Amino acid sequence: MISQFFLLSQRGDNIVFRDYRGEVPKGSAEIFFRKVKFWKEDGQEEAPPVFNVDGVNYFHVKVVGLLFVATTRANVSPSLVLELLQRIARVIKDYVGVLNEDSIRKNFVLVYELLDEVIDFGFVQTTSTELLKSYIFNEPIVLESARLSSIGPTGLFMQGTKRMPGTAVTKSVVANEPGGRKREEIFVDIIEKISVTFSSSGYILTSEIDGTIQMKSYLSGNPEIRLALNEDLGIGRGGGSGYDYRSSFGSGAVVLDDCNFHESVRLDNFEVDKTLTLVPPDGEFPVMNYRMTQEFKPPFRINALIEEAGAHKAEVILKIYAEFPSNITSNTVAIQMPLPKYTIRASFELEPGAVGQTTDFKDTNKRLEWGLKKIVGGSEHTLRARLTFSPEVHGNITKESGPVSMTFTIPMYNSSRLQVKYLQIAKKSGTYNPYRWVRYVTLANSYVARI
Amino acid sequence: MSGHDSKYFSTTKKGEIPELKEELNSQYKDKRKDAVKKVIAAMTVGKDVSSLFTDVVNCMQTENLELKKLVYLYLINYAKSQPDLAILAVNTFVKDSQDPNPLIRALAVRTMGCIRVDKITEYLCDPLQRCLKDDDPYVRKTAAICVAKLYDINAELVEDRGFLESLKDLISDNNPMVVANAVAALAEIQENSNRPIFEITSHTLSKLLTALNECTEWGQVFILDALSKYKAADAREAENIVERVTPRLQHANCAVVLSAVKMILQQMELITSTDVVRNLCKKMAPPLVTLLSAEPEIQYVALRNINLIVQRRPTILAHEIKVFFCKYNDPIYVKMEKLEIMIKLASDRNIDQVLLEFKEYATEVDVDFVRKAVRAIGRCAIKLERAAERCITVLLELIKIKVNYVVQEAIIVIKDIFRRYPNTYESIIATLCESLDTLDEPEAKASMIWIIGEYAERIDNADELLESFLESFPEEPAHVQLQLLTATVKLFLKKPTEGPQQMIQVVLNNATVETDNPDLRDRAYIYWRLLSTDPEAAKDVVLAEKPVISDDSNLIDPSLLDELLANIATLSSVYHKPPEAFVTRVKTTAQRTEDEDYGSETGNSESPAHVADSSASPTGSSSGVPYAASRQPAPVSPAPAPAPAPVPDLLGDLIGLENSAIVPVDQPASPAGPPLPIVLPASTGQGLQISAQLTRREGQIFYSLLFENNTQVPLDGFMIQFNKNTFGLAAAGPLQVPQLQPGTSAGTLLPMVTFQNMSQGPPSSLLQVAVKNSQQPVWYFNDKISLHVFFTDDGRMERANFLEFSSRRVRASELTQQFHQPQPEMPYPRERRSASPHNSPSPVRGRRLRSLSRSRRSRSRSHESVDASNPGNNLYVTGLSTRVTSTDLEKFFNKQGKVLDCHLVTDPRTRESRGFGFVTMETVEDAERCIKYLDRSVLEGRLVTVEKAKRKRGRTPTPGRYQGLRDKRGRDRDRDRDRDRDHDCDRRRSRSYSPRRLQDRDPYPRDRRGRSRSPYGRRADEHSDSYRRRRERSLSGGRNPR
Repeated sequence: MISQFFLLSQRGDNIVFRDYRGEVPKGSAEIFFRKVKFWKEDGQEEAPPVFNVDGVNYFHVKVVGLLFVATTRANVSPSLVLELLQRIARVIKDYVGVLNEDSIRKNFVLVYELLDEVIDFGFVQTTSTELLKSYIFNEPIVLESARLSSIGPTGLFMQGTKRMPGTAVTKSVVANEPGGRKREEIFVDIIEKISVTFSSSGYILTSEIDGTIQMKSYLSGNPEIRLALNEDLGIGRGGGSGYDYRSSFGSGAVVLDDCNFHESVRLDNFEVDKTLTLVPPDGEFPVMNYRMTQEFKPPFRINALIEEAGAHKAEVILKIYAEFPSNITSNTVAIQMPLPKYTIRASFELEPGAVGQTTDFKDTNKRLEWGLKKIVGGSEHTLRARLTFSPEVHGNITKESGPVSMTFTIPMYNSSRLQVKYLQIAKKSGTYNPYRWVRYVTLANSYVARI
Repeated sequence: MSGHDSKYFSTTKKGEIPELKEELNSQYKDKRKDAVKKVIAAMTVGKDVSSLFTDVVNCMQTENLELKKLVYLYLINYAKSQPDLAILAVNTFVKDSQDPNPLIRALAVRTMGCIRVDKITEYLCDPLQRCLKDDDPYVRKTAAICVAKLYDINAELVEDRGFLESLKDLISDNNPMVVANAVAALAEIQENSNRPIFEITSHTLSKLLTALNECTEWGQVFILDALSKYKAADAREAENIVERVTPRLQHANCAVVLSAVKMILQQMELITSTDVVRNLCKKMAPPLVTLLSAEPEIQYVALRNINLIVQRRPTILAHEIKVFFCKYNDPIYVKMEKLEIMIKLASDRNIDQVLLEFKEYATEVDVDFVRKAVRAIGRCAIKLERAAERCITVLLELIKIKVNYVVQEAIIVIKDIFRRYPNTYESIIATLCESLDTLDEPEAKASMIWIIGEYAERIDNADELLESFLESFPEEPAHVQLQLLTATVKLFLKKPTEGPQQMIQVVLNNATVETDNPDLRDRAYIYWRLLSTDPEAAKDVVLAEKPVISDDSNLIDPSLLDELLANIATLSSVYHKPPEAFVTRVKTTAQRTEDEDYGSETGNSESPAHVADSSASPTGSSSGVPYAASRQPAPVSPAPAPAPAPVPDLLGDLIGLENSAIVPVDQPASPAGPPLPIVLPASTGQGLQISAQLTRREGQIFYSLLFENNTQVPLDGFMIQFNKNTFGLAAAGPLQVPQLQPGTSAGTLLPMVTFQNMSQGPPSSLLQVAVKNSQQPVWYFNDKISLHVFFTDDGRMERANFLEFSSRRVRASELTQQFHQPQPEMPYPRERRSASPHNSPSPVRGRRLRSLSRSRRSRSRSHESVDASNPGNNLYVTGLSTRVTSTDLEKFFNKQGKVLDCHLVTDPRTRESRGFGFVTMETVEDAERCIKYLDRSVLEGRLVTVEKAKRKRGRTPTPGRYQGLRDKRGRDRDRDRDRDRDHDCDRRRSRSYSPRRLQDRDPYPRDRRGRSRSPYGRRADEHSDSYRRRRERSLSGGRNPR
């Protein structure tokens, strides 16, 4: 059971404060914030999500810059509390449409009402947006500006794809559109975060996909939905050793290491035809989370080279190859590479005719940064950087630079080849044809090439 | 409803409350609702709107649920402060609990339970009884929680009214939500009760397992956690339970997964079939790994739990080491935990892969992470004998990169590798020696010195290498000094040639004469004795074979591990501490308020211990000191004392005064015996000679003075003044010296008080005194404060009082801080300060008065002075925006009266405000007005709190960066340190030789000291100063170099 819940802004201001049990002193928010801010003397190190100060346990998660904090004195389940904090963030977002300091301040009565229903005397009651609807009476006030910007994974679709309606993902589950009637629509997003580590010789050392099928339904009358996945989908690696996944590679089947499902999902037919049946609750929720270490084709190959080029000089050559189909474009690609500490200057040379590319040398943390607005599938890009070192003695330049890390977003592409084959909405009427959006996106989680 | 809620926050003008009152009583519903919203808004930002209680409660009787909820929210907040008025709401509550609308019924019961007013509790019973049997599950589940609330307020009442039975009935409810809440409530009640209330039988077990499948995710956690306390009767039952629980591993909610893992692990202990166990292990691995795909916060919790699980069942994740490889974007706390687990999972099979990773990490940017990675390589070498060589190769490669902290860290772990595999890898010493010059961290230095000493016979130039370290011996931290000492002795024993012989003499001399570190001195004396009596025995002792160390990565003690494993998926598994180590459930309000005043200071006047104390010391209160003197406000509150184990000598140590506190045992105490030491010789005083000494008579400190007039004129009009000093000694009255005729002398006893003008400087036994008379210039002289004057004759009794006096909230570090401050400049002109025997031996030595404690009376006075330190005009202001400057603050307070002093507490390094400060108003009335009007008002957009200060000013700035309040761990560290010191004391007490007081001897002639270029020629007090500084750093920095 938790004692208090509070929500702090980045600066440490109290936005919401709810005490459920009155067993933790009032100054806890201040104590907490100070502790987190000055975790280590230099303020560099992040505070762990759970810590104890004077017998009070503080849990916190950061969501869009806001600190969601819970305190307790009891020996509770920390995963429960942390998960709860994430869910509270999600529920609030479901209700107010967009999660930020302003929207919460404007809806504080609603937020308190939600908090009263979500937690009673420190015991979690429910975090289902759907269930909460019957107990919540305040109407959300939707921010005007919120309609334009959005936060969270689904916000990724805003860029690049024309097919996506702009405001859909920031709609509140309860508020009506200004136009009156709600639009019937459902979003199914397949979001994959990929982690790949390339060795210095370009081999894949580790690769992993963390995927989620996220759903957000605005369908009236809560119809049942059938979601069909790849027919040859396999789960579990058949008990083989962790390193041996070559056996399954090439056969074309998608094999997940592990997956889990939302509680509303019924798996009656899953074994037979890989379909999921569910009545989607309101709000955004993950239908299925999955994890895959089966070998897959990484969307980008990185080739990095650093060579000595005369006294106190070196040359860096970075090459990236986009190994996905040419009808797909990756957005907001950023590549970073730490350089030796004694680097004092870097001059860059881009390939001729390069557009939308930026280069920078951050002197404070000695980092090379290369940004590309867009990369079309099948293309190849090169950056040359000439480094000048300070004349003081220096060690091994290869050892002291790198690894190269990369972040990117590739809409309408997923590395795992997991697919939603069809999305069926069971509703009697023949004319009923709501909008169905199935979207894919691949994001870089930890995409690293060693030198 | 129109507009934004935020508009309710906007108005802060004077007539707000009456305005709200009017609106609350409006005949229009909408207006009333708006008004209640405004009240709630004011409440959430901390404004006191309790005066509107009746008006808000009047709005309670409404059909509008939205409004009702708001009123209830208000009630919960203020019922406690307005218990009499809260009664007014009871009728509505009781009525609401019978409302046809189940939401209203539930709301009423829920809210009533939150109002912790005894009178209301009685009225709660009947509605609760009804609601527990309500038709609507929503009402029943709310009522179930309400029983737990009621139990928290009045346990007896719950038992008398049979609510526990009703609650147990709810376990069989057909609604899983109700079941889950009933289980949660019962589990909590059980936790707070000594009687068995909620015991899971096999009957309840099966019911709960059935409910498990239909529950919400949170309910599943409640049920799983409750079931984990169930002990299966045999292996078959255990298997059955596991089978029912296993599907939970697939849940998307991490809390459910971890609770299921806990349950399965527990039942696995009973299962005998290895096949089943192996199968279960296989099933648990993927869900555990999946937890690492969650948010970093959850990953952290999962990793801490996995750390425990792999210690018991390494097979579960033996093949999954890859998932623990760090991602470059992992937060540091996740990376650190992953490293730990990688070390635990490292095996001969995967070590190459692991080493490759570690090597990669060791070249990353984050220094802490890099260090840990280097250490990890060393730990793998120690753990896996066959891989040791490969690990060393990697370490050498890293050393060659020549990144300073990598090199130092590598040397530290190589020392451990040498301990583990003696005489195996010495060939690499040459490589290590190359980096000798770059070592600047004590631990690395100490390790390198150890290696040189240990392998002195194989290093040709070992003596040169050691000598290079010896040059800076006096500046080194204690443990480097210790290593140097031992290494030199080893070198000498192994190569008894001329060079080492000279070195050993220098070292022993340094370590015995020049130091005031008892550890070092003790060890040096032991070596000295050993070497001079029996060199062979010395060899046996110093060069004895050392026990081989082993891998420490599975450090947790098996019984603790058992307990922690039973607490998987609880906080205990994250802290790796048993629950009793950190769970402190505070029940009483009294304790709570004590926790609240974080800015408080020791010596809070009303503590009962103090009352008892002062009444028990009648001598103290009946002293001859003028009362007025003791009422003067003391600028600094009394030295706070730590709450260590009551080992007497500790106190002296903690205050950092051990050198002056060590008083030879064999010298007799003679309070009135020998003549007073001369503090101002006649030659300096133009014929006036002053002898003086602090003494203690009948529990009172006096400054015993003898004036001898060797001049040609009579002297009169003697006055005395004491400079600020560590103990705040000051004259309690005027100096009573009659006119001194030439050739005569007069003695006097000047009563002294303590803690009057304390200096902020480092602790010093120096007492600077100025004496003047009408005929001569002012004479300045120095005297030494002999500590025994602070003790009564029965030191033991005093000590007990001293400990009692010390508040348990103050820690050693603060204490030393108080004493270790930069020395303020002497207000006297320097050249006029007359030379005086600074180290004058005081003839009056206590018996065994090593502990420091203050006299009874001075202590009781110091309580008064604490009170006196703030007559009420000094205010503590907190919640300030960091933008607010001292001037802003003064302006802000000037509105309510004249500000005398305004002190904003800032970070000593960055100068950034810490958000609090102290303001001294001219009068108490002004101060009270400030509290009344400025408390909870807004300055620079932040709500500030103004209260009466508990201390005059902020703590003197911490050396180093402010780190926020100490956490528990930090405090444990202090405690450990105390314990260590404790050992020191024991050792010191038992030694057989009795070193003379260091100050008493000076092995070097004075003139040599002046011009000596040798580092050994430094003055002893300089050493002690630098030693003290270091020590201070280590105490307050929180990081104790080991």
